[in-house]
Amino acid sequence: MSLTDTSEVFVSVEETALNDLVTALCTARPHLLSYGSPAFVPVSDVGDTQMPPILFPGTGGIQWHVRFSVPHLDLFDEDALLPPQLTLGPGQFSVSTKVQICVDCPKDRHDPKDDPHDPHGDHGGDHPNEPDDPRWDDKPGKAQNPVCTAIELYAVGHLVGTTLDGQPALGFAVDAVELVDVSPDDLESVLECLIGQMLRAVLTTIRIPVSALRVGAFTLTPTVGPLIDIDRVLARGNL
Amino acid sequence: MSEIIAAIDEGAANDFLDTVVAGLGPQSTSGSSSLGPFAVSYSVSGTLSNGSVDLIPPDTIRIADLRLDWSASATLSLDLGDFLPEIHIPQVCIDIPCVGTVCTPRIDITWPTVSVPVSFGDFVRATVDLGLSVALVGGMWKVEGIVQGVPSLAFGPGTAAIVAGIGLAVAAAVAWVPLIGPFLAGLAIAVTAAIGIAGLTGWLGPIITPFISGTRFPIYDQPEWFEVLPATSAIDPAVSVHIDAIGAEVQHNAPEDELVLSADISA
Repeated sequence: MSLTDTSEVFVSVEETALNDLVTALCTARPHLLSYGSPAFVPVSDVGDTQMPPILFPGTGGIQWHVRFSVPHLDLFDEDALLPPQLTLGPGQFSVSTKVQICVDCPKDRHDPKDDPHDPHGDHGGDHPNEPDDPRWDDKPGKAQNPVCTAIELYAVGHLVGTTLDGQPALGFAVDAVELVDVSPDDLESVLECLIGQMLRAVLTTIRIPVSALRVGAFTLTPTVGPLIDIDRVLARGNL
Repeated sequence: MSEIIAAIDEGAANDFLDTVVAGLGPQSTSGSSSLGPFAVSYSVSGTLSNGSVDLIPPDTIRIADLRLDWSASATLSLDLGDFLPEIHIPQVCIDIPCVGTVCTPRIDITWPTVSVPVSFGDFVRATVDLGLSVALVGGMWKVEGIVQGVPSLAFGPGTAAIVAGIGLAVAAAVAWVPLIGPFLAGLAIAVTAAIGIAGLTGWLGPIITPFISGTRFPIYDQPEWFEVLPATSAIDPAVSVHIDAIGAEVQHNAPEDELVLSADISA
């Protein structure tokens, strides 16, 4: 069968190239994967997106930060092992990533014994799991006592046709999410719901223009796809 | 296997090359040479338009009836003495009574050399085979169709009339020359005969053939660092990937022949 079939133009992108495109996007614009309140993200910049604190009475706002690692995509069929709860069906992709969640847990009262040399207290010892992270360097207004965790995250989803600046683009929609090594089950369910919503939101910001799928070769107005074939995305259409 | 494949079928290749050829724009050249017995300075311009595309595996794009519309402006340097008879009127003396001998002057007519501007144009058609060239030049990946060999040109039907037109133009241009009137018709015929259709096409061929044989048809032209997304703000800089390799070939994927570009990229 011809590549173009009944269409004029054919484009296919292997999953390695698709991952290169996603990696390039997330590397150039890491703020697409990183969100936090002012104590963690004083200002939106290329690295992070500032969000409001979580409002809760008596707290003055809970400071938080969520950052995903660059997602890795596996297009049907299954090459990267998934948790048994997930199944990768025809036309689907799986995505694996790691999400780091931090919250600031300020002490109710400063204990001078924590640091007798600095009246402002709080240094690296207050966030022992990330002592060298430049995001919290103990300046006023930054997270004073961040507590973080990192969770492996898997999901399956499907491609969606979308637009980017008026041009046809490839988008990603999540069908199911699975966390690993979280217990008890009801906590896992809560976190899957919470993080799943975050992942869906993050993936809506990751869109690959169709022009990139063909690296500028010819032109393509898709009439078929983009859709997932085996280990590749393909589209057909007209010039 | 390449990471990215983009292919078009023969119909799309025809449409694609329509756009490519239209984008080439006019070409021009100038110089001086001989047209028949005349010295001629000229400027010639031509514009290509696409023919019909036939994809021939593994690496040939044939364009049948590629058309070049050309126009020429030329100035012919014409020594009328080469075409017109020399005229010598001898001195005649008459003895007149009471007056003496009266003589007419001897008259020798030397025909001048004149410059005759002429403009003409027509079209030629050619069938060309393009080979595929892939190169990374100055940070740009280029895939081009390059004419293989010098095509033979089929001149349009108007070319024959051009020769007669040149003869008439010469006759009109020299009408001011004293005493030339009786010779104008013969002059036009003589000029036409001196040039001839073969002479005209033989003169035009080497001039306009490079418009076709020297043309490189751009098929792909992208920077080595391909811009996936342009910068839209300070926090959204441009996104680029590196094109590691590009390939191009004509494939027969039954039942069609397809022009296939392939690429490997890295983040």
